[in-house]
Amino acid sequence: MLRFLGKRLLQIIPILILVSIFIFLFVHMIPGDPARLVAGEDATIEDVELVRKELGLDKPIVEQYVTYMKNLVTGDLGKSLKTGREVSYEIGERFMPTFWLTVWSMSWAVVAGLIIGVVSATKRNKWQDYLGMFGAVSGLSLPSFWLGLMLIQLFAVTLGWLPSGGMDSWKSYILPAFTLGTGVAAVVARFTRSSLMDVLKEDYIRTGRSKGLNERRITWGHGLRNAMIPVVTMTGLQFGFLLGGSVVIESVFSWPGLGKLLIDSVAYRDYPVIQAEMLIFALEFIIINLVVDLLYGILNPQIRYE
Amino acid sequence: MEEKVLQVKNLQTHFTRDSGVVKAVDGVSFEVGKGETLGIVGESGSGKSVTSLSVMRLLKDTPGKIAGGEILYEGRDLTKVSEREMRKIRGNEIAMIFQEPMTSLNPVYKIGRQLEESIILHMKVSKKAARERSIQMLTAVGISRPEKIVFEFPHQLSGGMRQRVMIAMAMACNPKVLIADEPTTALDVTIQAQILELMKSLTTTTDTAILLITHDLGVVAEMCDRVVVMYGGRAVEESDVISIFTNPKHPYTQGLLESIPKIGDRVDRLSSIPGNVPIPAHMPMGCKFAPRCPHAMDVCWEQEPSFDKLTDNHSVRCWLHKEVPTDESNLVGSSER
Amino acid sequence: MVELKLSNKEAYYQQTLENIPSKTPFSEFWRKFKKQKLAFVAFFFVVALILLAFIGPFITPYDITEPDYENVLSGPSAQHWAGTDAYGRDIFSRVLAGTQISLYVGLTSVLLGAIGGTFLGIVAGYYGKRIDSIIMRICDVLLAFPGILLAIGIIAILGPGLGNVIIAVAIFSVPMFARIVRSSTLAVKSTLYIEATKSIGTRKKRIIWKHIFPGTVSSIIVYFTMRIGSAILTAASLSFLGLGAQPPSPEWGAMLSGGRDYLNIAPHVTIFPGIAIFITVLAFNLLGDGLRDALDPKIKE
Repeated sequence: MLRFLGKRLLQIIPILILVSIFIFLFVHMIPGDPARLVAGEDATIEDVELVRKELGLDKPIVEQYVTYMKNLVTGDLGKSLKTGREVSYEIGERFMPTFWLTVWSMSWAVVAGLIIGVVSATKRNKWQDYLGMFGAVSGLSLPSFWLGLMLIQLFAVTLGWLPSGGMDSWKSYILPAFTLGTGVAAVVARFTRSSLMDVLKEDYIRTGRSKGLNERRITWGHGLRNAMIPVVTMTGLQFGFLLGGSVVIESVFSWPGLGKLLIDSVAYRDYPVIQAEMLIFALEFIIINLVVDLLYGILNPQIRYE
Repeated sequence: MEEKVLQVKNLQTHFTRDSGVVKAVDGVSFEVGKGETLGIVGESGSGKSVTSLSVMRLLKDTPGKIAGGEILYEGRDLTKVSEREMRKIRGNEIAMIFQEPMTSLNPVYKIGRQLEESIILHMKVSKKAARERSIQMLTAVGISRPEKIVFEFPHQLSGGMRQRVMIAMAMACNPKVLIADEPTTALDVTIQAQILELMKSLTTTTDTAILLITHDLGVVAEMCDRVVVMYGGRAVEESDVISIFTNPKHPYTQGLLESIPKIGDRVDRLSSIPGNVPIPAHMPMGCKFAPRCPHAMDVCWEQEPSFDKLTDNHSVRCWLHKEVPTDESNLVGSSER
Repeated sequence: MVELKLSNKEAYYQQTLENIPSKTPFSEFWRKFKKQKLAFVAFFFVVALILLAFIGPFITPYDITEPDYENVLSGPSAQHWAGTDAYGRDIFSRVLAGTQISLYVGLTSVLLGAIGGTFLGIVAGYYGKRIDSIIMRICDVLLAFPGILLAIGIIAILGPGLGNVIIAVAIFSVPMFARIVRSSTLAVKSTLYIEATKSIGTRKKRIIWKHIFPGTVSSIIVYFTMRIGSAILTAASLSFLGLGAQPPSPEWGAMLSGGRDYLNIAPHVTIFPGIAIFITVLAFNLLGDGLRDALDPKIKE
């Protein structure tokens, strides 16, 4: 297990380096002069040159990268062009709201997805299966921002039960978390169904039946435990989908998180913030995938003991 | 032939496919006495595995259904008991081991847990007692260090070891009948003999009857008291093991025996039965073996022979051993279909 | 009658011969595909949508850009089936005209992504070694950014607009196609017949085009169809966020974005474009599912 962990960590390092290079180059890919961008439209040529020196943009690109990495390690992400505050401060303030939103969305989505998937797989080609799978493909096809708006219209405007936006109490979480999780629940349900259906064809399921176990024990004990192995991997990938979706959903629900900050920054062309956000999202996604790999190792004894 | 533990009478198992109903097992009958070993022999596709799954009522995830006949276990008809009752019988009174030891154990659970599962379920004992019982069973099947093996996962064991575990699992609740579906086919030859020996010694002490499904006549010779030969979903010959080997009546049985290599004989080419088992969806309407039979007569194509007793202890389904009906009109009528 | 006497035996062999399947791959596919009724319906719906994309702009009952201040935000009625928006424009007409934009964005972005990904995937899978690891590392990096975020990043560089949305969606489709095509290339490559042609001495290019590419086609088709739905969704999301199509374009996401300010007084402005997106994406997803089950049941998600 430790060796497996070590191997995975080693495999991540080159990706981390490549991602950091990619993000570093990001600012250089923007058409036009980054120094002028930072200095502002109506800055004088002297001002622009001063900014260039200050940012180290006159140095060779490799040296710039090294400086960038050094700053990165010390947590220095530059200053926001819009507010003038430290980017790390801006991001730090927005991180937790997005984190909790994704955690809650993921939690309900996985539970609902698993239940729907298992019911569909065991009631194969019966009405429960058709209903579950049509629901899932619909969930996959719903534009989340539209779903969010419709839920606001129903539960906030018409019924007045839940707040339409902001982050004031636990009630504020319900609508955004539901909206954000819908797509993931749909994918988990579909994937669980097909994975469990494959597993239920295995020989050891027949062995279980031949021992006299009942169907519930077969499905939830022997079947799902094995079916979970690929489902966990796939759910990890869905976290990326969720992080991306949070950008849209936060905008719909005026959620004070990273996603909304990103959209505001794109509108303002606040590149240091965009750059930092890209890095945070990529890091988060890489870390989640690492966690998923470990979980995979725990669920699958064949890996654990190799 | 005092006490019959298991009697199968005219079993019919049908599969529903898009193209129609396929009779995978069509009128098979046999009986097994206490402590007796009955071999069911046939090529793949002969319906022998479906027969064993029918007895266990494990057709759930196949499109198959028991369409007729009786399966009497100690006088109770298993085709009629509820699923709940059946679960009490499975693994407890009738246990089964399968062909694929590599895939028949759940890869994510430790050996101990898989063994204890059925012990706790059927013997209603504590976890601790179940653990003791499983260690005892592992010892009985000749596994050394059983108290270590219970903490291991299936993939850490070899194929032979896994089959031993399967046997331990099947025998843990002292079943009266053990169904073994090709238990040694997937194993090395040396391991095969050990596993067979183990099954034999375990069952003689407990007086367990064995239903041994195999295509291997060598295994039959070694293990069985009686033999049923199956072809195309039907029993074609049944007798005690000595009669089958020394005096086979059905051309198919004769063909099977001829295809066994004999030590001492120097032959360039092993004889084999020409052709293949017919696809169940497309059976000849007369004798199912007619297309491959060296002795096929007109009547064999027209009408299926019945399964009749030649002597008290030898039955066969073949026109060679009975009077051919002379009713011409009947034959022509059937051929016009 | 004498002939009939032996007919039973002959009939058996006759039938056995007839039973040998003589199905072409296409007829086999069609038989399986037709069995999936939902996918079959979705297929005709998609065909209808494509037709609508061509003729939609010509059959709109009202002008789609001209404001009509007499009829601002009026609800659905006999004149305006789906009501009007904040400028009094007929929403039904605009949704109709928007079909073209959504399909165009969905199809071209995935097509570009598929071409790029297929090329990279085949090259990586076939040549292996150094080339393979370089291409796959680049894909890993692109995949390290959750889909829509990568698109937002690309738009942050290129600037907002529908054309840039297409490029952004295409770029994040590339690594996924590359991975799928690479794995099926490896699978095809390891099968015996490629070994056989290689030993005859066929040129590499020929092996790729004649043997490897056809072997990957079914997974490409399935994945292609399944991607279109999510590409349309992504494009609509970006337009909704103001990063894609700009008003007064009748792009569905942009229409929704324009309608959200009037959500409590005129919900129809947001409802109808949303339904249009939903049904279109649903049709592509159902079609993709059907194609998968008929062509390549091994592909999961």
